[in-house]
Amino acid sequence: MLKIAVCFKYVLDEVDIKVDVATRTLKKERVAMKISDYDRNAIEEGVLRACEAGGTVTAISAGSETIRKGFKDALSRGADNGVFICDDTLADASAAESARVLAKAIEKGAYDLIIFGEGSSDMFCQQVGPRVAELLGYPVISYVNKLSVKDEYIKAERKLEDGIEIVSCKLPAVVTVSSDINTLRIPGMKQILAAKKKPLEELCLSDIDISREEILSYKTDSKEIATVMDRKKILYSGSDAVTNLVNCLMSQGVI
Amino acid sequence: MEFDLDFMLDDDHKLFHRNVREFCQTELAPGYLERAKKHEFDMETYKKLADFGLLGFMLPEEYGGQGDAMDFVAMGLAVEEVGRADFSIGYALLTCVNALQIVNNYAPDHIRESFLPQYINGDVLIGMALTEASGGTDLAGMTTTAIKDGDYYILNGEKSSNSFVDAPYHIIYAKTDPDAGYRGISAFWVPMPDESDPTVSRSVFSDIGCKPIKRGAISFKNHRVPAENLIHKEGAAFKMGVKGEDSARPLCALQCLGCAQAALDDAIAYSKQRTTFGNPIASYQGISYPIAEAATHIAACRMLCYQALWKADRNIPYTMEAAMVKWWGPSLAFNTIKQCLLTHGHFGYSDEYSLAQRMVDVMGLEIGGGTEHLNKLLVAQHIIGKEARGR
Repeated sequence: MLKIAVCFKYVLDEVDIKVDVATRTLKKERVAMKISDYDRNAIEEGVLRACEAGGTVTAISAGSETIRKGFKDALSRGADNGVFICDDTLADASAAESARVLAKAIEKGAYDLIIFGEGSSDMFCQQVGPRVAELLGYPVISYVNKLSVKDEYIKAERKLEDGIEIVSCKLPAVVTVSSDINTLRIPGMKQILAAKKKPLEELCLSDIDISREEILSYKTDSKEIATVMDRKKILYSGSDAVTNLVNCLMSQGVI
Repeated sequence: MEFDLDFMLDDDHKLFHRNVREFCQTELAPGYLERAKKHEFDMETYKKLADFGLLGFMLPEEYGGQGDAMDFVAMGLAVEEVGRADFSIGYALLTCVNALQIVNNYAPDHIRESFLPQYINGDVLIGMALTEASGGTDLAGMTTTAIKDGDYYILNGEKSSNSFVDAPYHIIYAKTDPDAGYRGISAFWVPMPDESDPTVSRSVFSDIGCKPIKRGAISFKNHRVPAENLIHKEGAAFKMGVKGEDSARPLCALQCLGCAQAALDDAIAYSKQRTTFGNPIASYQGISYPIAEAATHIAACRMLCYQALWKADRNIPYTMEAAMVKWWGPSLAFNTIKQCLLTHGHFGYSDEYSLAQRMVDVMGLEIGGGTEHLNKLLVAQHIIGKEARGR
């Protein structure tokens, strides 16, 4: 039976984040948390593939205690069970830290197909999936917008800047998926209540043979500040003003 | 008066609230204004409520319902968000707590088994006809009769101001004992015949708001209804109907508050980007103070609605709170939306904006579901006592 693992990140909801204009720092008080947008598509894709090919879906995430609530959402979206690697040192983990921990948990679970969102909706480094694949020695197919599973192989379509690429590889493998791979189903109250009954395995770092010192060795000093975008202040005049304005707006993707 | 503080949204409700808001904004909000102007209920959009599970509120899982998964607080969250997205579709959810509960709890098995799966799946609508032209609040004064004749009841009379008048099924309230006041009222399951049947005629009113729900009248002239379609027993209908009213009232209010919140959000956004004399109009207290007042009143009314529903979930009496929010919520919503329209200046006066539509939509619930006067009377009776009983 196909064993699918879907890794998700529980992030701050960016719509609630405010910016201190003077210091450009992000004000994160009273900000709700959510499953990263692309990871929701990853979970949905795992569930669809499991239904189609016959299999199970395990939702996996790593972090501090604050992310535990994310599992209710993940499980309500159809995952069969969850694996939570919980440690305070994993709060605000970098891509390197996350990849190291997730790779160990995935190796322990012996999954066939591992699905990530193409990037997280907070940092969007787009690294964790490929890093995990490298650590495990698995092939990775990124930016997948169509996926199918047959026997021991997957076939994927990758949406690239200049076209569509169709690739396949043998399992086990890692894929990262884009948001247009599927249309999300939104869980209702019934699915939310059913999530409580699904098993959630909790692992500590020692369960996956990682030391806190190793995680701390990955830590770097970093700071987040908001970007500043100046107004373009382009003035169009003359008889072609409207046409030029419309063309500009279209070229910028505004309309 | 005692008040209760021990209630809050738990994690399940918070997650559901987030999900239902996403569902409503994604699936229902787009196209609201266009749909609102038509005398046609959009069944395709309505069916999305079924896909999300909202039409199965407190209905048996064996028919595809939600069972006890959704409580009244969850339903309140859903109704508020649906009202925010598309007011008229919100009426379909109100049907869940009155007509559908009557069918589920009291209708004969053959009706439950055939109808409930269809309804839960979003394939049919249902109407509930209590009121008449001569009696809205005065239900006991209804004149439509249902006289037993062998294996049938013969219906005569006209029901008026009924939502979804062209629905294929209706629960019709009629007097089996015209001399017994409210104790003579019975309820019947009435499948509507086709238009060629001379014993039933239906007409749709030309309303200023909530056009899609097709409010109208149903006239019966010696229409025969099988006796097995009597719901529960003769004389029981008034109490069956009243039982659902308490839960419907906070939901009506939340539907209106959701609509008002949408208007308020528009007004806030507009006030930040519209400038006059070099400043955003939000900087003028003539604009910001009404917004602050509206936000305050909506927050307060909303809390009272959820307190009422929280009590409903715990079988704690809440008739007074339900009546409070039913007279307050729709009126507050109307006034809020009107103020938001004025905030938009001359743009707000255009029917290309949703504000005027929202205003006339919520106004319907200042009348329907129990008028402001009736509900104030209920509150007065609770607080003052029998001396406040109306004449």
